[in-house]
Amino acid sequence: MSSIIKRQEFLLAIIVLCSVFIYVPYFVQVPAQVSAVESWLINTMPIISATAVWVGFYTLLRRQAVRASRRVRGWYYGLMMGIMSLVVVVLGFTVGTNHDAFTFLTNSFVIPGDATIYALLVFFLTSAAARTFKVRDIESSLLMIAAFVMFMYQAPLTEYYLPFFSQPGLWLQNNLAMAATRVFGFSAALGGIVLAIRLVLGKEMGMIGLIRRKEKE
Amino acid sequence: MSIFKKISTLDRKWWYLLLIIFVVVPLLNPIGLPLKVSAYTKEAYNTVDALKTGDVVLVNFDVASSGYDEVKGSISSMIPHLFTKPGVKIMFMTDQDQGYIYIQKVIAERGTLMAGKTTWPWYQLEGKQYLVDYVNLGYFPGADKAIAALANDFRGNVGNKDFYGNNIGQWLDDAGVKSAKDIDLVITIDCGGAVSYFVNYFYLQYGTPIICSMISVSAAGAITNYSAKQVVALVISTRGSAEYQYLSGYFGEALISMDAFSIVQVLLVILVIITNIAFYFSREPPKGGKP
Repeated sequence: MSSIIKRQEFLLAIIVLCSVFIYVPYFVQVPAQVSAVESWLINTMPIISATAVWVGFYTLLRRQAVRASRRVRGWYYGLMMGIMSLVVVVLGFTVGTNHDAFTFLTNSFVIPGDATIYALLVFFLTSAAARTFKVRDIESSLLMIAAFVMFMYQAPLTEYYLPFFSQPGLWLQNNLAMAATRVFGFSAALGGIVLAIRLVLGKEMGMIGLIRRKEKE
Repeated sequence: MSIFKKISTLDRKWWYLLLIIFVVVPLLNPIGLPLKVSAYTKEAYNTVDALKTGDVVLVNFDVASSGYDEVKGSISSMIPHLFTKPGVKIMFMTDQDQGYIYIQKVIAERGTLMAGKTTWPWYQLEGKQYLVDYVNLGYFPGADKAIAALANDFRGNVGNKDFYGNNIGQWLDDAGVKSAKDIDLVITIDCGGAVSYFVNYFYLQYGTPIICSMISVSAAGAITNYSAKQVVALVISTRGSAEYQYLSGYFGEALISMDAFSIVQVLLVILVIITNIAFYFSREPPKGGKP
């Protein structure tokens, strides 16, 4: 049985079946039984995602344990991260996420740390903008002009006192920026479709970890 | 060394110092600089204000502490404003592990404990009471997969328990929520880009209207959704929050911080201009040619 489960063809068959049950009802009217399978598959996805978090947790602990045993540079930070992760998991399971101890850990460590790192960005952004936004050639000049117009249009003070930046700012936003964003969106969507087709055809087996296994064999 | 050379090679610590001064001084002494309310925020305010008795609203807190400061102004004004609408049923959920903290925070800050109750989740806000007018569905892990599952079978995936273990089966049945098409409005407070999930699975499949309040880095993508009419309104970052606070009358830190915001943005423009002038005059002459 286990040899069948490990076979590449078996895993590929699961991928193909899941894809068919999810894609086909999206485009074509299908019997209720097929729709029920589609719903079941969609509803099962969060459970798989949640399980994947535990895989990540296990991988993190193992990696930090290896780093600590080899005494690599900064190993004690990794060890602390592993211990704290374990403490949070144990507390979450035993006393619950609404308990004072759990709330204390979140409010005193996670939130301030997270917020501090994000707040530091403003310093890096400002100094980087001041030091690197330089008019060096035609391309950088165009970038500078567009950035300047958008800035004057969006900054509250300049928008209020210099309203003539609104029209060019809006034009840039609704035409150039919109077109560029949509190009990214379409490209990513097309890439996703191509990847899905290649996966269904068995040409992207690295995504389910089969290439490495083949190399080992 | 010329003054231009000095400016163009100035240590970044001086920029940081300048920035601290220009942020701290207006925060401690607000000036009250003018602020224009954008169409995005006005639309968000009008959409919430137009909710009718019997409407069901799903509020998603895609909120993490990293971006909380940017959206807390919209949370602390939009949520109380939503609670003032009579007969509107409200469901909170979060797709971030930290999101439930902020759901509780906003209700505790603006609301009071219900009579005879001493702890969560028994708070009332603007006359709305827990398990009567609003519920907290809690954390749904799985990002886009979770939202897809909720859109597909909302009732089945939520089950009968709220985040605190209370039975909400009857409440959900009374509200008549089975799938995404039974929800009249989705408000997603975004630090991680959940709006795209709601657009894909709630709007595109069921036409559920969406309002998004987001951090500034997500604004470009959200504006594209707004222009394509996939999102009915946006509240963009601290500025949008300040505008919503102004419109709703729930004043707070976002409005106060707008002075620092405005000044720092102008400072940034001035710095870029100065450093460009310095760069121009301190350029090395090309070899064998005129400078």
